[in-house]
Amino acid sequence: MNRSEMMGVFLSEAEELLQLLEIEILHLEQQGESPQIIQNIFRIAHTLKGSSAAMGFEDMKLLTHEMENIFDKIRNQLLPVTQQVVDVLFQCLDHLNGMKKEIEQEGATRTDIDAIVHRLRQLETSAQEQPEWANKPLEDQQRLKKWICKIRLSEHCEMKLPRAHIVFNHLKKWGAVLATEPEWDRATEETNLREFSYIVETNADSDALRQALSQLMDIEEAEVLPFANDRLDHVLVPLTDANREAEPEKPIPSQDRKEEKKTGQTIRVDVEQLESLMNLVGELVIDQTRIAQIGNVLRDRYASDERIDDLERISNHFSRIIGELQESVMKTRMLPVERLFNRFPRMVRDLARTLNKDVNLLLEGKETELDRTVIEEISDPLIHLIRNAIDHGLEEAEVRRKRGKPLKGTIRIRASHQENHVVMTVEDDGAGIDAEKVKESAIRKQLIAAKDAEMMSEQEWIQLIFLPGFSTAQTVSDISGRGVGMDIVRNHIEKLNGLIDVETRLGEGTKFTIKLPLTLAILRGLLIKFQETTYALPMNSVIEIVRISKQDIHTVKGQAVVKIREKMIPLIGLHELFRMPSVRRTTQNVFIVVLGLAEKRLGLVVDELIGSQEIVVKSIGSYIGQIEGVSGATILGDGSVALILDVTGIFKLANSLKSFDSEVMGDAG
Amino acid sequence: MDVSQQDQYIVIELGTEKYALKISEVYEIIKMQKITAVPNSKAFLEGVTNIRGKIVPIVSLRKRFRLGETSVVHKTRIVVVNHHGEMIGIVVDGVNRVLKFSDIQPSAEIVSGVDSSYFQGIGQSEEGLIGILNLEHVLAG
Repeated sequence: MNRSEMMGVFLSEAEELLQLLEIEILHLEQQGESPQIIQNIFRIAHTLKGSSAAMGFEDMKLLTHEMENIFDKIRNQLLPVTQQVVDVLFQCLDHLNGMKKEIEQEGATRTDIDAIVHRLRQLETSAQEQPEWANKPLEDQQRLKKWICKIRLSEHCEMKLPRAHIVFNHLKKWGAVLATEPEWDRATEETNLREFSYIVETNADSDALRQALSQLMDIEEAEVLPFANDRLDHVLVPLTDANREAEPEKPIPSQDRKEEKKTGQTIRVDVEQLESLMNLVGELVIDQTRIAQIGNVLRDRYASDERIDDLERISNHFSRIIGELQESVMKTRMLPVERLFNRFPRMVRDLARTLNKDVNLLLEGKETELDRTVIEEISDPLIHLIRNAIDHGLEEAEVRRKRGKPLKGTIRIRASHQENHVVMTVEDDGAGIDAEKVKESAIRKQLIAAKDAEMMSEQEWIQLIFLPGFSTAQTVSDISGRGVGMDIVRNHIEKLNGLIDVETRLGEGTKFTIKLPLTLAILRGLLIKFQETTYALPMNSVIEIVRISKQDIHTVKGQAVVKIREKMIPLIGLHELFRMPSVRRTTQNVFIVVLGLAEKRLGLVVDELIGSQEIVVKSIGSYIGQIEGVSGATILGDGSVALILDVTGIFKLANSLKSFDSEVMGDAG
Repeated sequence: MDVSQQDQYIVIELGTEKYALKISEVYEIIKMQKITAVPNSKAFLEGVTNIRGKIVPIVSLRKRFRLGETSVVHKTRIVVVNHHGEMIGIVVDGVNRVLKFSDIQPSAEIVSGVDSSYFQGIGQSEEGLIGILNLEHVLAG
């Protein structure tokens, strides 16, 4: 393994460890010190120390070492877990995360750790100075014993030799390591060694040693035997089945199921490799469509030829297999939302402390899987919703008391699957949204005319929170409400082809529901033709398709509109949006694709409908960059490229057109 | 400029004009193929096309140099270059040949009609003086 590969392994391991560390420190804060939690933290910090040392990141090693000292004190009950301790630990964690990022980006750390190390040492000295073992009789300490420690590393351990060195370093703390098998010089050549033995001279007993060894990461089996023989090579035989029978296998205490799974059945794969796999499958999907198309043509031409039947059969089989392949590859890109959820407890904790509110965070459906790109994209909107819920949703303790609610507010975040979608909800048991206030605020901010507001339902008033520039918070706080708010959240979600909805009950709470597609890589698209060019529209934004006669198009204040089932829908052509020259339509009938964005409607005039199909979404690249109204491109059956239209962008473009009257839009809604 | 004069260049044509591109910057040369127009983008962007499953932006050197349009002929080619790790196709009227320059002078104001910042030098060969394109500037904007 070369350095950059090792770096990759190190970074992904560090990321996992830091996340686990955060969870455990939170547990420590919430549940107080339990041997289990301390043990977990100790193990994580220790592993991190080992691997950062192996990679030569001195500062990281130093900091984790100092943290370890603290945990050691806590473990030996020399240091009580106070809020101060937890705060410092969180600061350490932030430093470590910072360093990890620096390593990722610059290959080295530059965070200054002196201050934090100093704080740790202060904590340490505040602890009682007398460790337990010091009280033991002296002769007991001096009675050194020799042990053979045999370890077997897990098959999936990715840095076996460095790991073995870490074990070696660990053992050195117990006493003197007299010999190793294999010898280090020899071991470097055999990369796939899994079994290592060490002879240790120490005053500790075998159980303690074994216990400590099996708690190190990636150790599958550890054995400690008394060393009685002077000849090393005689005893240093590999662990065999016979040996194991002699001493019954001790199950490795495994506190973390996820980790067990990781070392057991999964492998790490570079995301880029998955992306390229996905692209290749995308190609197959496209080619399959082409084959099917050509098959149809041939069928028409040589209807009686039997081989056409064969071709069709093969083609059908092909498409079924590709479908399955596509599904499997998609699954490999799926991650449990746990990845995302893990960020929330810390955030909620910090926020709750800043705002001086007591918050109970419930996370449900952690195992729900969705595409990693969706996970990345949905993080910000969710964080925004959670912040809002804590800041604006949950009342002050005093208010809650008066209302007879539990003093501790509850935020419930839930993820679940619904057919081809993932549904996420952010729910609080706070004050709810006051529709009346929302309406007044919207009128005051001139987001809506008073006479229009009076005609709306209460539910529609609440929807006003999604308007740009809306924010009900009385003061602009650091946490939420900088004038950007729910409209940004909604935009973000709509960009992912998702939907957001809000339900609220005054005095009881608010629930935001987000519905997202499982993946962004493939979507169901409606292919249309406009002025000889093919475009794709995301099917989930298409409300309906109608064919109307030219006479049915009316003009209201210079804006073309059409009446569909008593609703006035503004019409627009792509040439207006994209400022292309217009071509006079010669046909008597036109197709209108009615697009929906929340409650808004817009009719897109198209020349031809080609049909709906699965399309593979590709980026148009950073050279061209973002283009309003275009979300990407796809490759069609004939190998040509079609742009995928972005419905949010189309509505934006339409609104920016002078002739496009928002009054008409209002009437339509 | 630290350019090895042994470097090879390909000569591209634009009407009667000839320009050179360092061969190390060229990814491949393909025949003209169907290009999908992209609205509201750079003025000299022709659109995007599919090159072996990748969406590749295509720019027109004619539009870039404001030389006026011509129709696609059988000699029309797309020269695909690597620009910051991204493939970009440049439509040219033809690809002439590969050559080495005996001498390279810094580009002066001698380039007729076209902004001299598009060039990184003027190469001398048996075919006369040929402007060497500065891709960074040609593609920027």
